[in-house]
Amino acid sequence: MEIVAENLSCGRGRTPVLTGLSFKIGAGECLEIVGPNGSGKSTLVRTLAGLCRALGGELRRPDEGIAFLGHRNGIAARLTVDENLEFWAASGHSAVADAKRAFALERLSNRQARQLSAGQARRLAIATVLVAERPIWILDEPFDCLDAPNTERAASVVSMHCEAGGIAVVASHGNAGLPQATTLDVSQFGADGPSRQVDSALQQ
Amino acid sequence: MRALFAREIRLAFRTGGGSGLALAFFVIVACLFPFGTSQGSELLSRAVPGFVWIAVLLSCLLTLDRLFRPDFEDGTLERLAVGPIPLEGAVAAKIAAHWLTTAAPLCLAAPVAGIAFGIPAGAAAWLFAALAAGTPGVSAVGAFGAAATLSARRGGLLLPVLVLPFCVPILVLGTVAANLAIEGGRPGSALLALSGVSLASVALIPFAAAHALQFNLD
Repeated sequence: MEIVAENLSCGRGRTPVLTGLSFKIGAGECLEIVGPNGSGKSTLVRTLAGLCRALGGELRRPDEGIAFLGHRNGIAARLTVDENLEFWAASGHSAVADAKRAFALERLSNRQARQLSAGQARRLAIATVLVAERPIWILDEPFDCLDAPNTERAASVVSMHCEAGGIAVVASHGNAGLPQATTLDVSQFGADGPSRQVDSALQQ
Repeated sequence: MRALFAREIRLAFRTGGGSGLALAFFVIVACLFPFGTSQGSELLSRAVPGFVWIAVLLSCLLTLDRLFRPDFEDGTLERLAVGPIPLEGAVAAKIAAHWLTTAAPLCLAAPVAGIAFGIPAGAAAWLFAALAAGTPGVSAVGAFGAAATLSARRGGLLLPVLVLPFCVPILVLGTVAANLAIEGGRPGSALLALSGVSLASVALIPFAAAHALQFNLD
């Protein structure tokens, strides 16, 4: 199980955003993708997840076993915390209970997701990734909206996932607190050179 | 897929304004019909099946825009696209849930409306059978329309324009089946043809709709 990119180009639609990316992530490894706003972090993680097509180069990844979490939480506002967790859960109740404990969501079990704060909703979203029990996690700025203790909590869950042999790809602003992660700065790989020009490419 | 189906059913009942609204819309349109026609004429009873079919089609369309849009907006759809069930399967589960929560109540209400407009009970039974056979196809065609118009700014308005022309075969066959029953003919073959069109739609459209969704997620 590994994700291998060789001279990979990716972009939105047909507009290239990043070119010349080469890296390899094996089991138990964590890749932290950093870069300024608009540098193409989201484009790269969406390409790795298979949502965007690669525009060039080669990308080898398993077709199955990937859990993706983008900017939006993917939780249904009208379902309760428990119902959302159970929908994404691969197996039974014990995993759901463990995930709720890991993210301090126990007291919110029967609350509808629309009543959660932004931080609580983000915690629930990461918890749904945990209960899906998939070996590869691809997370786009997963610690958005989280306060410092909860960022630490979520980062330790990601670390434990990697220690158990999983793969994690995390886009962040470099403040994720993942000590064992390899860092990839995408701002050097902008399709039009430096990342400021990528900004304008995205706006077109 | 079972979990997705159960989630759809649960959300349909919890959100409100979905299936209940479609049924209320149907009842109101049905109530308007006699006002717009000269009552008691021979023409009226022959027009009833076609009219009921059109009312059912429009009521179904009312809810179709919500088939993928909430999941698209809250990020569920992109996570489902990456997840273990193929997107085609997810579309099929959503079509099934839409049919059960929206079209099935309409299928039950429509023969009642038909009898109220004076078609014989036997013909109303055939009307019910035709609706039950044809509406899965409507849900499926509508799902493709909903998937294709997902990122269009006025998707909700574009949807009926895109979907209704493709519902013509279902409408024609369904109306013919019920009219044959009223005239004392044998509607069996029309019903079989209708089932064929409907089943083919249900079988093939999830693949097309999944492609349209994938395109919108890129």
